[in-house]
Amino acid sequence: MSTLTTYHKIDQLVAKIREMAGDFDVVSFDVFDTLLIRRIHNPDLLKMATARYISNLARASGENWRPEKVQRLRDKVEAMHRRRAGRKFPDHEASYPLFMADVLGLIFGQEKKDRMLEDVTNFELSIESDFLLARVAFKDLLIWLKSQGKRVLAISDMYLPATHIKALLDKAGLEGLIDEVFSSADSMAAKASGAAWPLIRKKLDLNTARWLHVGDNPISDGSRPCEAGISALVLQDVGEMHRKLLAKSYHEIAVKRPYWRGRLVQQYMLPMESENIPRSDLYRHGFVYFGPLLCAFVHHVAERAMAEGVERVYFLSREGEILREIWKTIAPVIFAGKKLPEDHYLYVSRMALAGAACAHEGLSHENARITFLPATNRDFRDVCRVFNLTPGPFLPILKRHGLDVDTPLSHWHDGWNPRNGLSFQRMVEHDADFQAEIKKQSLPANSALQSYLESEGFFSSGKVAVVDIGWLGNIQRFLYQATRHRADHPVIHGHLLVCAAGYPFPYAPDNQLEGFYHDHKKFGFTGSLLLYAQDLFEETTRANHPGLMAYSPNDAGGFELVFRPDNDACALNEKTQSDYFAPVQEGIRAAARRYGPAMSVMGYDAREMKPWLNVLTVNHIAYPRTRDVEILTRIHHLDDFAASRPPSSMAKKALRRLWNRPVWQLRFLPGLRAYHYLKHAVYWLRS
Amino acid sequence: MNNECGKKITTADHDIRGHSIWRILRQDMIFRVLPFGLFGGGPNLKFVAKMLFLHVFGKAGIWLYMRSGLFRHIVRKFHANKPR
Repeated sequence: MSTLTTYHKIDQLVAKIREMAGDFDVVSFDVFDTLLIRRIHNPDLLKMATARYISNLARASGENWRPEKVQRLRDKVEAMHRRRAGRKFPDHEASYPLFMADVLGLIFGQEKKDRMLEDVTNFELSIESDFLLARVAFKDLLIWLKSQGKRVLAISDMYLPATHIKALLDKAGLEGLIDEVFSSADSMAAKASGAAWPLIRKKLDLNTARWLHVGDNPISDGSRPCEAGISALVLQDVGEMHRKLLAKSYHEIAVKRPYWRGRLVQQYMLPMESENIPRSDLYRHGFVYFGPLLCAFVHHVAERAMAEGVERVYFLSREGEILREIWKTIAPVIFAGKKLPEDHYLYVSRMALAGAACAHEGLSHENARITFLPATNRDFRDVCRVFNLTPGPFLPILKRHGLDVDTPLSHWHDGWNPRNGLSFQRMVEHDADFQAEIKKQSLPANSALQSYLESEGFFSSGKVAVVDIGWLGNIQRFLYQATRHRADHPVIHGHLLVCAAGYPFPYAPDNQLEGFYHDHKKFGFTGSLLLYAQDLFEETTRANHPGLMAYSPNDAGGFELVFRPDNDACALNEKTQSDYFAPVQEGIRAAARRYGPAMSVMGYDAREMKPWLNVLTVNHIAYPRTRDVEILTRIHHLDDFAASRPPSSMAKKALRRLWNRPVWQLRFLPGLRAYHYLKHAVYWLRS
Repeated sequence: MNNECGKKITTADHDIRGHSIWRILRQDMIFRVLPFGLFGGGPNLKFVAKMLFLHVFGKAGIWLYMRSGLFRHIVRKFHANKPR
């Protein structure tokens, strides 16, 4: 005799099935919300992602179809199919390949619809798959049932045919665990009306007395199979209902307040079931904070690049490596159906480019002063180190201006005299011998750079974008100055996560720079908080390869990239550092895999993430937990422009930040975070 | 400092570890005193309270609702007494 029992916890249900298994030969499962669960509360939300995809395809072929219009058409056609099926069959069912073919036929014309149907189906299944995951307890149960020789079926009331549902089950990790899949879309007989049960029994020649069905719907998976003589267990999982209730509530308040939109996206990104395993604190920081921040940045770069008609996007080493990985992960999902610019990774560094930038225009005083931005740099030797020059030939020229290679030129150091600064400026701006020597020494590096950029297709595009973390845009400055003498140099659109004030940038119609999260040209206080801990962002995002030292010409007239030797003390420190921060990058990559589908479904712009990112930044950077500062602060930071000498005590005091404070102060001084926050606000409002 | 002994990112009440609804509440309280930053209109204390309640008591509420007719009875009664 058939029985119906309801459970509220999956573990209790699974234990009961194991206990009862001896009484049954066949165990069937409902698919959606039973074997597989969705990250979102409402499956209809996924349809909008497909509507956007179809809209993009339509625009690419010259048709103007807004996503909302596509969605309305789909709803209309689907409803028509359901009405039509209701006249012939007991259920008002619809089959995805049939109604979607009609939708595409109306949009693209009958001759194109078959080709389009395959692409659209693949996209819809990939988005469905991104939001579906198998319940671990059921997966383990299926393995056990198979080992007991039971026949396992999956039965769904769904518009997708069985082949598509099987593909989703396989992708969720249930491949080989289910014998047969049945969908109401194939037979037009659903579980809800009870028509599916006799049909399946007849087709597989089953004994209903030895058949157990498990599902979540009290009617379709409970009463109806019981009426057909099948035993049924219904799972109304309280934990799942709670999760969906929260997602639904976040969705509702996100409509009303932009603040919650990013939180909603993060709710959809959260790891579930087998993904939610214990992770290190560094991984958590990568997943919860750095990941969403960098994903939104790359998302914004893609939006801007397509709006500006950029043909190539160059991610600048070394932070650019992970940014490019994020691009490759999220851009094809968010902008599915659109043509993306080509992405490239460009080996650059301030050191390598600074030396090559002076070959045609010489060394400007503005560029020379960049040397003294790090407080550890002191004299002309540092200028030579930064611009890759040999000091020897400059000695007589320096002498002519009353200077020496060791004369302090930075106000941070003892012995500094403003007159020396003026003499240095005079020499740089007016001494032709000085500039001639600069150009002579810089020319080989510049020729090698040109060859390298040509090999990367830099000059074959009219517009390029260059992407970096921050801060002053010096890499772009030198790149622009090293190439602008060529008639075929491209227009450069620079994108930084944070574009800081502090040094004038050579803006020009063919050299633009903007910051996504903070741009000193626009009001945005919270974004400027990232300047609290610049090193942190460089260290956590840096690629695990040595830094570039120079571009060197080779014998064949080409180029050679000269990297810092592996056995160099700095390179070894960086290696240790990168290994330490590897879990952060792992977390960032995991976040990127979830960010793309979540944004594709919600359809938000990158900028809509900003209010939430501001919340995260304030908490993680301005009001960090002491333990977080402890694990995220490492001493091996290498600034390739800075000299190895220790900074003066005056410079140390001036550069003291919250993140440099000793741990005991962070732990025991109340109001320390508020003090730094207000200090930053006052500095920022005055500057 | 043991960085290896980690915890799950999604907490038992489906919140983000390290950035829970409690932290949002705390931050909202701080920024009522220090009014800097752009937070998209702010979280709105009503919404924070709602989400806090749902995170903390949501599961228990659903459990009670599922297991007894009590909540259904209260809801029905509440709706019945509402002036129409």
